[in-house]
Amino acid sequence: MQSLPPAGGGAPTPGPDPIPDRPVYSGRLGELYRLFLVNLLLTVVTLGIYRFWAKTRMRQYLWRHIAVRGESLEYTGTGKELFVGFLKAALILAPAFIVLAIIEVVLATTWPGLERAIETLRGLIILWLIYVGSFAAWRYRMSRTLWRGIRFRQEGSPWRYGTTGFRLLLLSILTLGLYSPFMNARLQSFATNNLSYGSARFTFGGHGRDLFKRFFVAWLLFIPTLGLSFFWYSAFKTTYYAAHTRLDGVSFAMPVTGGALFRLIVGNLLLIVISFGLLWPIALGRTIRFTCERLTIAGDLDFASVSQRPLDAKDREGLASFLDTEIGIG
Amino acid sequence: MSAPRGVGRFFDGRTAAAMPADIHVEAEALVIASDYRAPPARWPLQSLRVTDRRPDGSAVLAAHGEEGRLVVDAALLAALAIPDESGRAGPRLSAAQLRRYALVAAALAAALALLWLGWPPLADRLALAVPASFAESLGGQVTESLVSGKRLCTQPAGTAALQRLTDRLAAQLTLPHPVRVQVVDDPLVNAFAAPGGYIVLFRGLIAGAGSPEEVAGVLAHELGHVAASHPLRLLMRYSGLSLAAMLIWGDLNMTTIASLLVTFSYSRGFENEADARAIEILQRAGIDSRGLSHFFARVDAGRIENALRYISTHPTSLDRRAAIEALVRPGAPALTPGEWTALRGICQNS
Ligand SMILES: [Zn+2]
Repeated sequence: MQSLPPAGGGAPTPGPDPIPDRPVYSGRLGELYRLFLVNLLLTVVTLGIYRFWAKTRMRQYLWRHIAVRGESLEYTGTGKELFVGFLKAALILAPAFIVLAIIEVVLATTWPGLERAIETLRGLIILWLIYVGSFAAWRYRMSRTLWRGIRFRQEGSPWRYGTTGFRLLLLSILTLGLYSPFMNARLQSFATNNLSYGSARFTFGGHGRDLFKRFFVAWLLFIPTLGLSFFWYSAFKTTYYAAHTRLDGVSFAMPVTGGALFRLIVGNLLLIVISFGLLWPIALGRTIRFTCERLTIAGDLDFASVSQRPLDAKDREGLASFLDTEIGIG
Repeated sequence: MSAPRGVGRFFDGRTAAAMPADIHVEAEALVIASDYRAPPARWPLQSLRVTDRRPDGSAVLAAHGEEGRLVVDAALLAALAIPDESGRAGPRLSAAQLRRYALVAAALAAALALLWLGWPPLADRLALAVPASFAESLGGQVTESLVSGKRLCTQPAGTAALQRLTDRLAAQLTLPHPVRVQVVDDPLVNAFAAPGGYIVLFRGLIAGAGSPEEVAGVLAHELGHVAASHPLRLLMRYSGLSLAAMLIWGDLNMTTIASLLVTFSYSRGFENEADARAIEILQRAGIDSRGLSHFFARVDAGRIENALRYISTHPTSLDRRAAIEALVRPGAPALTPGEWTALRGICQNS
């Protein structure tokens, strides 16, 4: 859900209109819907091959309709890049999984007791790859996001992110979830501190210990509130993340309440489930509007001192398009 | 006629600063002059494209290979007449590009057609090469996952009656593995065979049958599937296709393979072969084979409730029924009246 491109700051530009301090989403549901249906149709008739181009067109539309301080974003990725990345990932992963499947069947027929162990092992490998893939996808998307002629850039190795995420997740499971605020803050810190807009770096100054108190209350209330306490915690976490993120002289705020987050997430879930996914564009529009209506950007960035950095050759989506479930944007 | 000329906002792709710029066309290039930047940027006219059109009529321009962006007003945009990237028409394809795409599409279609037509016979070959012990353990796993969560019917007298019938029928075949028949407590009318001689009957099938010969007919039909290795062949075909689908869709979930044995229906050819073998088995065992045709007639006439499941996994047709009618012969009863009563009560175990 959190795949919105981050907003940058801006210097006041002379002109008659006051530049809003929030990102502005100007997409229209009708257009989004038509794009979604055409993409769906083409994806089905091409047996799924078109989905890379479908994703690209969807992202182009969304990025173009999000304006930050009066200038819209632009998605510069192509379907071909995604497709080639997918083929590379498939060439590496498919043989690995076929071998694993064969080992699984052979071992399971020889020692039936091992079945569970192998299933678990496969599940863990997939989980790890999902972490790796989602960061690789995010990294690619950032590198293809242009604002005012300058690219965003996410650094940091997806393998390292994935391995850290996976390790911390196991720790969270072992501690019955109590470690998870520390895990969340560490991953957020890794991602944000490696994110930059041109030569301007984002920084994240949050710590898991600040999240822990609220988390513990939500954790204790999880069963009595039938899980609703986690919306309250999740809203706090979102607000906390924004408040502790900076881009040079620019600061961010995102006041979110648990109730609003609950309405957004449960509403979206219902929309998607009752329509078997056909109302997905409505859910998408709601998510973007939710973010744009709450995120505020304060302070100025000296645009003349923000310079372009060369494109990193490692920015390929590969694994990501193979594993990313794409619940978020495009 | 005057060359297009105007002002705009220029992002030069080196810094994020917005620069007011004077724009004019000179020697087939857009010249973008700004106080902040010398010398002016020159973008060849043929390499220009529109990356965004805004509601107020202004637009964002880009040039091939440039990361800079130029915001121009509606008047200048109209004067420049640039092909639209963000508009409805999409990028225009040249004839050579079109030919290349058509070639790729044709190659892809040919590969899929080859896979579609060529895979089943190849999968059948592979299925025959699978050792019996492997098929048995595979079938055991598949059956276990399919009946998991359902109660097994094991009332002793009923189980004994079913075992005697199964043994009589299986004795007519030479199979590399024993035949294991299980009954699950499920009201659906269904029966299926898994690799390695595993057969599962649903309670609804026994309850819906009008005579022991009908149950014998269905059982012989499943044995026919077993004798011709249909479950293994189907599994092989499906595994290959799911592997291909996995590669196309990028889905790594392989746990669905087992459950597809129920949802994936046998082809007409498999059904006809299983019918023919069933009648042969019944007649060699001396059992009245008319039960098979009675059962299908009752299913088709809708006289058995919950029978949709059976039709979906074993599709029937008028041709198929006619073929059965022509072959069936009278014979001995499949079970004694006492055995039949016991079989119908097989799910009354505690
Ligand atoms: Zn059949």
